[in-house]
Amino acid sequence: MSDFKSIRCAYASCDPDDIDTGVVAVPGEVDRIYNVVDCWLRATGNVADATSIDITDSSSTVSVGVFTQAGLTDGKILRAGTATTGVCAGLNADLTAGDGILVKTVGSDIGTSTAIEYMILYTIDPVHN
Amino acid sequence: MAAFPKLHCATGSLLAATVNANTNVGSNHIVPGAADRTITVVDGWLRATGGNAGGATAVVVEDTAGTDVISATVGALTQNTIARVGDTNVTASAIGTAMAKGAGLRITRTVSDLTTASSIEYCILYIVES
Repeated sequence: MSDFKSIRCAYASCDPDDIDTGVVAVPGEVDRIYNVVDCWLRATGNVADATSIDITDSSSTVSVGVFTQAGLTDGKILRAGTATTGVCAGLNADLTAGDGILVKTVGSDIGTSTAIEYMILYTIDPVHN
Repeated sequence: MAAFPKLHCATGSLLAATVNANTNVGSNHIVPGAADRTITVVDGWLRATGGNAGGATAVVVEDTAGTDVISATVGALTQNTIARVGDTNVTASAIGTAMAKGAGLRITRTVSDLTTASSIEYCILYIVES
């Protein structure tokens, strides 16, 4: 990993239906490895039904974080590292080379909420062959 | 939003008197506006130093058009405590929302002057789009 890397930001406000099917927050590039260094989610309207909204690499090989329904209450910014509801064991872990960053519902589809915002800070490393 | 936007950071410390000046032009500006650019704040924190924040209702990061972005009540700004977006008593109503084109960012206080604390430290993360 190189020093003095730039941090990039992915932010969007999404329809929950799109999160249910999976939103690629950052597209994969064949010669890149992403590394998420911080993130948060915010629901408009309490999240119901779904078990969690997870951030992973796009092949779902590496989990960045799990944001559970209980923490995704209306208007609350749920930060990476929040005990129990915002556990992000995969912060600072290299995602799969060439993969993007995915935000996706786990369990049943999201109920009640009308929007899901995500903010993901990440770095980019080149793939070394 | 552009692909792979770079993150920018405004960090520093403002004297309480500067925050209290509540001016629209001058030293309480932490990011200058640019005519062809739009700023979107995505994260940040505030911290009171030299004492607990008192007197005011809240310390607010807002755009230079007056739209609140991050508002930390003085209850959240006890001495040396980092009041982050997402914490109790920190309202982030316009975080993730593009500010008015050409607007910069400033820090001010609401209702009354800030007392007891000598300075407000800030770290505000934002992206810029043309």
